[in-house]
Amino acid sequence: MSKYELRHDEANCIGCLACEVHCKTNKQLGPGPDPCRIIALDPVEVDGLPRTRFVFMPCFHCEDPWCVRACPTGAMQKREKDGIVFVEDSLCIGCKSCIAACPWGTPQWDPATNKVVKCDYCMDRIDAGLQPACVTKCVTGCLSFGEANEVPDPRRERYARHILAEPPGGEDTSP
Amino acid sequence: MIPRDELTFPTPSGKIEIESEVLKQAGLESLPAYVPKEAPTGEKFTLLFAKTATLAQGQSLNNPLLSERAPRQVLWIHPDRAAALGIADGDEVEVNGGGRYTGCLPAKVTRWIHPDAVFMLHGYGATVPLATRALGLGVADQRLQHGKLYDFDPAGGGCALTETVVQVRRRAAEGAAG
Repeated sequence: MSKYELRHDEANCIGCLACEVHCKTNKQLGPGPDPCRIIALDPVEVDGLPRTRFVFMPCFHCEDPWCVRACPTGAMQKREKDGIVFVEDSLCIGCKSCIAACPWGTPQWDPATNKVVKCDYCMDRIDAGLQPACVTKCVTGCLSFGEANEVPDPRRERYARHILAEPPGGEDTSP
Repeated sequence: MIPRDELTFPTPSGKIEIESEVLKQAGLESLPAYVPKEAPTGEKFTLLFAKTATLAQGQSLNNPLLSERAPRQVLWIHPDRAAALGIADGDEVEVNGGGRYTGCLPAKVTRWIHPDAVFMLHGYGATVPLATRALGLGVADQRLQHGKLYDFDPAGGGCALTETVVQVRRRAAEGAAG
C-alpha cells in the first residue's frame, strides 16, 4: 500500500460533494469521470432515527494493484518512493483494461482525452508540499491526508470523551 | 463590542418585546392562538420543499459541475398514503397546486415523511432554453405554490409557502385510457 492515508471521518461528513467537484476542477475534467466519489445512503434507520450515511471512495492505492497488472502498456504504475498508483498519460491507449480489473471501479474513463484518469492523491500537489484537492476544499474538514500514523484520527479522543463525559446513550458526533 | 447589559434594540422598550406595542397599534396580535387545520386527506397533501447542498437556487442546476452532482428529483410520500392512492415506489406521479401547472416526477415511498405531507427538492423545472443542462429536468415547486406569494405573515413578511396543499395522483400509463 502507499505510505499515505486519506481518512474520511464520516461523523462530520455532510455529503456536500465539494470533494468530488474540487477533485474534478483540479484535474480539469468535464462531465463523466469521477476520480473520487461520496456514496450516500439515505435515510437509513440507526437506533430508531433516520440517518444519512456516507462512504468516501477514492483510490485505495493497493499494494499489488490489479489495474497495474492489467495495463498492457505500462501506463498504470505504482510510484516507487511512496506507493501512489497513477496513470502515465503519454502511455495510456484508452483500452480500459484497468477499469475492468479494479474491484471497485476506481479508474475513470475521460471522454475528453479518450484515456483513463484516476485518483493519484494529487501527487503533483503533494510533491509541491500541498494536500490533495479533496482534502484542501473539504467544507467540514472531515477529510484528512498524510503519512499513515501521522494523520489526525479523531476517533480515539471522541470515544474517550464519550465514555467519560457523555451520558450513557448520548451521541456525540463532534470532532 | 457593546457590553451585554448596555445592548438596546430599536423597540419602544429598548428590549426584545414578547408583547409588542408596535404590533398592537398595527392591529396584530403578538402571540396569536394556534388555529388547528384539518389534515389533508385523499389526494391532498401539504407540499414541503428544501435545498440540497449542491443546489442553492434554480440557476445551480445548469452549472456543468453541479448539474452532474444533482440528485434525481423525487416526491417523498408516506407508504400508508401512497398505498391508498395505488402509488408504488418509483411510480410517476402528477402534482398540481391548484393552478394551471402540473408537474410529473417519480414517487419515493418512505416512512421518513409525515403522512400529511409530500416533499421535493427545490431548484428544478427550468423553462429557459439557454439553460441547456437544466431545461426540462424535474418539477418547479414554486409553480405549485399557487397564490402563496400573496399569503404572507403581515408582521414579518414571510410567505406561507409550506402552507401549500397539492393534489397527487398516479400518472396513467402512456397509451392507457383516461
